[in-house]
Amino acid sequence: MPDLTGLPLEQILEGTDSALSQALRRVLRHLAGEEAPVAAYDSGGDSSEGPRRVTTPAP
Amino acid sequence: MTPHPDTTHGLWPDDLLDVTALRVAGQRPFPFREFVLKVHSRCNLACDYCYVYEGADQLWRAQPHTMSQRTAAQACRRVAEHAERHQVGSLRVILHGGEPLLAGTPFLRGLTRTLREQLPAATHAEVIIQTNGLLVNDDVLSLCHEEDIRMAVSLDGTRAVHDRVRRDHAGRGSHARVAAALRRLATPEHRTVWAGILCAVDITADPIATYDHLLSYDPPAIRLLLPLGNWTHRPPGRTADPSRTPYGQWLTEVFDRWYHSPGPPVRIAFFESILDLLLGGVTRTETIGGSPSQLAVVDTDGALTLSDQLKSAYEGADRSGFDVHRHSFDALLDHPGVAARQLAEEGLSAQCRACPVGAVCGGGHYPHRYRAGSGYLNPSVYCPDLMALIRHVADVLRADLTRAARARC
Repeated sequence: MPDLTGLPLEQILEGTDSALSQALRRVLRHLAGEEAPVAAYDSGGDSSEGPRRVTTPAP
Repeated sequence: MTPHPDTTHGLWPDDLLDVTALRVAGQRPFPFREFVLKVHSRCNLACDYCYVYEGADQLWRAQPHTMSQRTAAQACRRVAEHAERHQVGSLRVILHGGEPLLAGTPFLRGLTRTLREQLPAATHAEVIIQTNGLLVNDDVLSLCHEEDIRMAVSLDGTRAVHDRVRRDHAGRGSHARVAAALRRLATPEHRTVWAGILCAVDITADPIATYDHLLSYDPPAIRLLLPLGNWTHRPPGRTADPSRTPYGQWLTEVFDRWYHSPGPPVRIAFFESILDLLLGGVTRTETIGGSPSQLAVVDTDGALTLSDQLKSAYEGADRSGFDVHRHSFDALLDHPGVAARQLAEEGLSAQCRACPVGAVCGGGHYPHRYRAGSGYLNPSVYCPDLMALIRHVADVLRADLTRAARARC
């Protein structure tokens, strides 16, 4: 796993609209507590984020 | 009781996973959030590789052609019941087939309305039609706009590549008709109802030519799907030689093109998920990363099945014995075939759990793990390819992050 410690994440995020900066944004949102997406069935589309995974299992 | 995934006697999970003991030990199921409704069991194409019609499982022959109104209404009630019980905030319903548009727009409109009427007010339903594109017309587009349905279309690449395998029953290629549908969906008028393109990877095709062709339609998203296959029925070109990684190489070429392109990249969940997992995030596709499956499939006759893609393993592999008329989705949650796919790392083979890229790969796509005689407790048949791709992506990521760190100094 790459080590993100000490990296200039702000620069990476601000500079471009690259695959890397978008990935970092998604990961940071997740680490900030956003619910994880469902590991989706492969139908054709993914332009929305889709349903979120319920982090608490069923009672 | 803890499952014993290293057991070598019997089939995983059906013979070896004690779900009752699992629940007693405190392992709770994750509710379903994706529902595939097989609204029509026949297709107007006869694709060479189709897992429904050309695979080991021929049970489609006993299915009614179209889902009945009664079954559709009951499926909607069951989805709503599940959403209510588990307080599901959002879910996705995929209208699937066969070719779902053969069910006709009145049926699809009625089903979608019934579904949304039945759901609790707090539950949002995203509805997607997964189509081969041949029947996309004004009526279908109006349906999508009026009922808030999005459409995903299958396209495997250039005309030569696509028409080699995706032909109709008269043997005619379908590319020209699909391309016409995609061009309509790409217009500003219809773009909002276009979910994206689903592309089955063909390693005999040039990867860049394929990718560039898909991009030429300006899709909002592309799903790259590895052919369904397993250790017993190997995918095309996936030999027993682990040093050969044709799928890894194909995907690596496309990844590099995608990753290094200027501007915002088209959404490719497979690549995005590998990047996210390497950076400490999570997957958005069941094909990589090993997150708990929250998928249930309703067959045309109302049978609740594990995943239609398991048909690629053996006849009846997706059967659960439950159906929407007699059983709730909660009954399906405790089926070993569902519980096993919600175990994450504990449901992986010993080889996967010891693998240095196991946390990213997650064992790959569940149907790819099947081997006759042992079941699904194996690495993916694409293991060498996934290893090669993930290592390449990690190298690219590491180099990019190193550059970023140096730029700060």
